[in-house]
Amino acid sequence: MAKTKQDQQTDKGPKKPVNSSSPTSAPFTRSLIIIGALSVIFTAIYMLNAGYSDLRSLDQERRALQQNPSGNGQRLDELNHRIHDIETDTGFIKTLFFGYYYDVHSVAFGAQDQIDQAIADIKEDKTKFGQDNSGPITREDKLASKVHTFRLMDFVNANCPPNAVILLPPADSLSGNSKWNFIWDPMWVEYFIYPRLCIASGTEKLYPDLAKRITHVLIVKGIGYDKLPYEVPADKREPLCLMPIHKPTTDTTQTSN
Amino acid sequence: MLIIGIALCYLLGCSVLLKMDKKFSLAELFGLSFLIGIGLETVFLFLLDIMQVHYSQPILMGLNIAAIFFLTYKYSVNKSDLQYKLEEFKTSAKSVNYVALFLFCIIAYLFYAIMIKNLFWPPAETDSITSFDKLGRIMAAEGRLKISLFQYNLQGAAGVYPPLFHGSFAYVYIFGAETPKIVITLFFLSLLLVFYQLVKNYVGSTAAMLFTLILMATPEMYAHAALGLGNMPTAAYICAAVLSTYTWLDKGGNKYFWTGATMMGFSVWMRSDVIAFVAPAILVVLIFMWRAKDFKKMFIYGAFAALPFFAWLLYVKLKIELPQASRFDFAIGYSAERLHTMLSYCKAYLLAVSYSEVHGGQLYGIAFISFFIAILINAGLSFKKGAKTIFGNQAFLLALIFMSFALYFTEFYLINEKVQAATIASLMASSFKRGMFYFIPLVLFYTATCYSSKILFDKLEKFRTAS
Repeated sequence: MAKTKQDQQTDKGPKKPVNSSSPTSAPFTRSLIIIGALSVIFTAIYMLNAGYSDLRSLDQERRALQQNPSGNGQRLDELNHRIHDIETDTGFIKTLFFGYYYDVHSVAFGAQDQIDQAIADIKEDKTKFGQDNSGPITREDKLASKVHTFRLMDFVNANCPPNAVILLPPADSLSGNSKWNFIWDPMWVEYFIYPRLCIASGTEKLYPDLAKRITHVLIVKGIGYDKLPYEVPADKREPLCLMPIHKPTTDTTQTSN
Repeated sequence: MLIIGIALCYLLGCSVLLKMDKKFSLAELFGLSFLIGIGLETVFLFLLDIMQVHYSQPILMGLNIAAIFFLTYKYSVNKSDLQYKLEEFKTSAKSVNYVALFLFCIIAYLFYAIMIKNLFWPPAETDSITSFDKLGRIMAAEGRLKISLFQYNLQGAAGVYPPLFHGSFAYVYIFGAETPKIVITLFFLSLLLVFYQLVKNYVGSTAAMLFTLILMATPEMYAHAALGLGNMPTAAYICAAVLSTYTWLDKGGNKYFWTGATMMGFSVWMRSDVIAFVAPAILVVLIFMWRAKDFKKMFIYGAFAALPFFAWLLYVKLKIELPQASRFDFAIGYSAERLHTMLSYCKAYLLAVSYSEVHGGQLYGIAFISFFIAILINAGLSFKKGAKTIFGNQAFLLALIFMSFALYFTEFYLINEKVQAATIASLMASSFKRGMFYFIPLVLFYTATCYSSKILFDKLEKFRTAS
């Protein structure tokens, strides 16, 4: 039969003299020593990159002083040196542990503050767009604050029937502008407008069935009027709007704010 | 209803686990139950689609209850099983490991912080919007796997991916979720629990807790615990699959054989590109089982691991009718420029240095560096004590890791840039970078359980317990 740990200890001879403290205190004290050592290591790792947290405030102070440099020359020099030191200190060990610092400092310690800030921003945005901000924050509110073209997508949904097919603006004229990121990409737009369908400009021949069903053209930065089979007078051309593919008898142009 | 949906998912997974073996630890029961449960829910969605049955809450609830009943109606609570669980609980309650408790508190805080961030924001990542969340939402709305968007090629790149990840989104949407990110938190929890238990089997709870903390705090991995992307969840399956398989080969027993085989199957049910892990695992199992003349287990393992891969290939070919193989250019031959770009990125990731816009150290911290240091130390020790003493069965684990990396690298080497509409540099800086997650639990497992670490943690444990 296998011996227990206690039996094995008995076999080795007489037990060591027992301390005056209780039998469980030794492991507890030793655990505290290990915890202390781990705490020192973790704090050292954290402090190694702690300078990064000062970077923003130092930069803000520098910008403020640069507006009015007279009499602040010495402080500006100090700030420049300090910022330079932080930015150029990229040793191997430091960068190896930078990610952990960021996890703890920005993500873990900052999570609740970031959420509170986001809620405040969302409420402010809702007020700006004339919406009631006393209700609960919805998924759509959160998406609107993350995706800057969300309100445009919302506008498309509000002004198109569920069976609409929308021709998107061409990528080549918008892809350089991050403000309109992905507005030309049908895979991306489809997420927001489903069950409506969309088609990328220039792919009409690839998807003739869908091209035949186009009901609207999305105009962004005034681009896309050439896709309409009818002429829109220059003075009536809105830079951001949704135009029906067939010429309306009355003015049904939907403009987005 | 969402709580019921998730509870059913856990119960289903737990029923399967108890059918496999009754001696799973609590960490394994919680961690593996979700991975198996949600995997099976997506198998249900797949089968319902084939049978052209529209998804709905009542149908899924009925299926779940029937499956749970079928798996557990003969299950009897054995007195010795209960005693086993009680003993496990008593032992841990009696001898509190304060160091592990301290590390657990840090893990719990980090987990809480990333969880509230994850649950607050809906998925807004480009890949999630263009593919994963879109597929999940519309699957739930249309009640089928092959959604209407396939007709116009609007489904996104993940349309040809096996359905476990976006299917898990669809499952929670069917049960009324506003956003699907609860599953991301549960995948992350499963990853940590399973990794902890598998490391604990070898080096005790202090080391297991320390390495679980290192795994969770791996910068890029931690960030992904709040994103609606599939790489971290895939890492959870790969971790459970490869490490359970290794534990089974090393220690024997049925428990890890079944979890290894099942998790391997679910890994390829998550992403087809993880065949890079399945193929070497099958090869290693083949060698072991051939030596042991256990052809039954060899066949079962191979079938569990490979069948989901072929089932999905057939579905894509026959039902979705999109060519998947065209993503690869097998006639590419030798391209020095491509190889140089890929190797430069690999060097940055593995050796924690910079290349182009990426910095391996900032992405993966000490994960890979500590792995290589551990190998070097053990290689040095093997000169003194012999390679068999130092490496033993871990040589197979190392072989698995290196073969999987070589295959994963080859997959990217063969990618057709035109079909993928991305350069190899951008693929290495994005997809490959995220794919490195699959290796992190494996390399940390080796670092924690290798010969030199075992000696180190043994000494630490002796000091802690004053024995």
